[in-house]
Amino acid sequence: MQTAVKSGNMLSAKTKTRRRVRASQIAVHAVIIVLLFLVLFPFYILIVNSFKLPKDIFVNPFSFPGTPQAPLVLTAFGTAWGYIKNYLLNTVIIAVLEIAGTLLFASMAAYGFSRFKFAGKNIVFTVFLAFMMIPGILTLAPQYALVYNNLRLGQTMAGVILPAIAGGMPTGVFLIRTFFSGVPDSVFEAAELDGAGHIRRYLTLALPLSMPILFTIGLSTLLGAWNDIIWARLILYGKENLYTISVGVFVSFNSSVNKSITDTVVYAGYCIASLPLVLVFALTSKQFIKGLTSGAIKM
Amino acid sequence: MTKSFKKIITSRENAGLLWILPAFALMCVFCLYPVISAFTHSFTDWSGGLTASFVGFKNYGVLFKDNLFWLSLMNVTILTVVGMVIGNAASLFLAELMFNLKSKAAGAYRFLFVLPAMVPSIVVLLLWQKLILSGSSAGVMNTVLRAFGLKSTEWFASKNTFVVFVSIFLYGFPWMGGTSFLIYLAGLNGIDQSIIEASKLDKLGTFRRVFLIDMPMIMGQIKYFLVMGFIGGLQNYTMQYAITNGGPGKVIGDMQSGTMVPGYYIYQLICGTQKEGVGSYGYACAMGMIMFVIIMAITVVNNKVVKSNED
Repeated sequence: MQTAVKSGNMLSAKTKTRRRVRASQIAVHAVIIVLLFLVLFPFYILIVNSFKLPKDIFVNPFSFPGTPQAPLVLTAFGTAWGYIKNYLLNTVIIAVLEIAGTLLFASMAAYGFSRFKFAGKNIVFTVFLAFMMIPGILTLAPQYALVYNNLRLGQTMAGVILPAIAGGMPTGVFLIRTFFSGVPDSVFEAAELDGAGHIRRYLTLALPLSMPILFTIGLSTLLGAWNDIIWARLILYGKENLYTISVGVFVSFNSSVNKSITDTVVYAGYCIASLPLVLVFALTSKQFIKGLTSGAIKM
Repeated sequence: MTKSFKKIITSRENAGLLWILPAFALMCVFCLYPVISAFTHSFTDWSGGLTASFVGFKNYGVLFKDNLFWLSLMNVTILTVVGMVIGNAASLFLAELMFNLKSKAAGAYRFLFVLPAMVPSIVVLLLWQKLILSGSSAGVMNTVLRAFGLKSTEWFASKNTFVVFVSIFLYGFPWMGGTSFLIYLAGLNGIDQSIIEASKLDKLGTFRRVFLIDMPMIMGQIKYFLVMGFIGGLQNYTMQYAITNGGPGKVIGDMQSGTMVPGYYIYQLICGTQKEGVGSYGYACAMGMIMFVIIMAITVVNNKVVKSNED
């Protein structure tokens, strides 16, 4: 009898905790959804307003397009595309070359550091790492003078690309080398016994094995190229046909600079400018998030 | 000579140097040279051209008495510290929410929180300036204020420095979109499950667990954001560049002072603003050197202090 009561009590205690857990889970969901709403709200406004007439933006900024008050208009996207497509193409060219250069030179250097033993290797590697500590604020003036005045790379894509590749070396070499070091020596030694030279071992072993980290570095280089505005604007200023997305959107794609561009066109342009990376992320979010959280930080 | 050179190149181990060469050469030109140039030119009247003459410590002397520089140092300190507290508290809060969530929806939430990081940052900045913290009555924040019976304000366009500071802090509210919460979340997921279980057996509430167990266990991540936050924050001038232009407030020299920060000061000097009595590039280099020293010092102190907490 007593045991039955006891077990009954225990049961109700169990359901109680289960209920409490479920209530707290619902609360967590609710808070997250509210926060998510706040985080995404600016983008909601951006999207809905890019489908409206300019006058409706001021009257009904929050409403969905397609109502009698704010009819759905698609023309803004066509107009915006006319301006944005050139910026997009430039950004893609710059990003692809930056990614290719960064991955190639960083992985080569990482291979040199991890598969060879030469005098002064550790000193050179430390020098590489030390550059992670140099703040950009210190080198901006001399780097600009160097690229613009000494190397005469002003208003060229090379002036944007080369410093970006160089700037990507310290972190890139460090991350890829860490990855190469994780590959057992025996794998490389077996290939060497099979007569594979360094170039073949680099191409057929080292690179394929380090795909995850190459992917992560490539993505962050892509984001960097897409978002870089200060350096790209300094270098490209005055050469409208070379402007990247960020520079173009900021400098000339603007209703105060160009009277023929209305606010809806501007918002449609923002949507177009954002779409490519959103798509890349949608397709690769798993690897992207994994790369960000696993390899990135070990302090 | 050629023989020994050939020997070095063909020596099995020294061939490693060839693999490193392209990266090394690029870094020498675009990273190492600018550092040396910044140091040496900080003692000259350089104005960006191919020549400059030595002026000793003049730039540093002028800098020391430059009110705008001191003001910009104060501004950047306030912006960095407040921004870091807000941003990290928000990211940590979101990470804790996600950590305590046991649901299949977690992946979708995570995706949606990271998504805004894919929108070009200049687009987000202009979006906030034009739509959210817009001075017009149709602006989102002004609409919200009116709904609560409060008066609209000009936000970023205000003549009041305090209002502009508040706008900069409000920017990005609730400061959670992006990737930093993922790093905290990874830290939380790395905590040994048995420790969490033990805390449950000890009837430790979630709130106390966050402060007594979670926070100490993710000191590594907190330290990372502390170090990176200072390094990035002290150099940052995105807001000034894209929105405030250093204003509002008194104009000192040719520059506005209200939200001026050292990074934007340097940028202005590069873009042709003159500082009386000194070469603008030499002066920018001197300012860069001071910022470099400050950033290095803070990084070292950060590492020391947080490390001693870990032990």
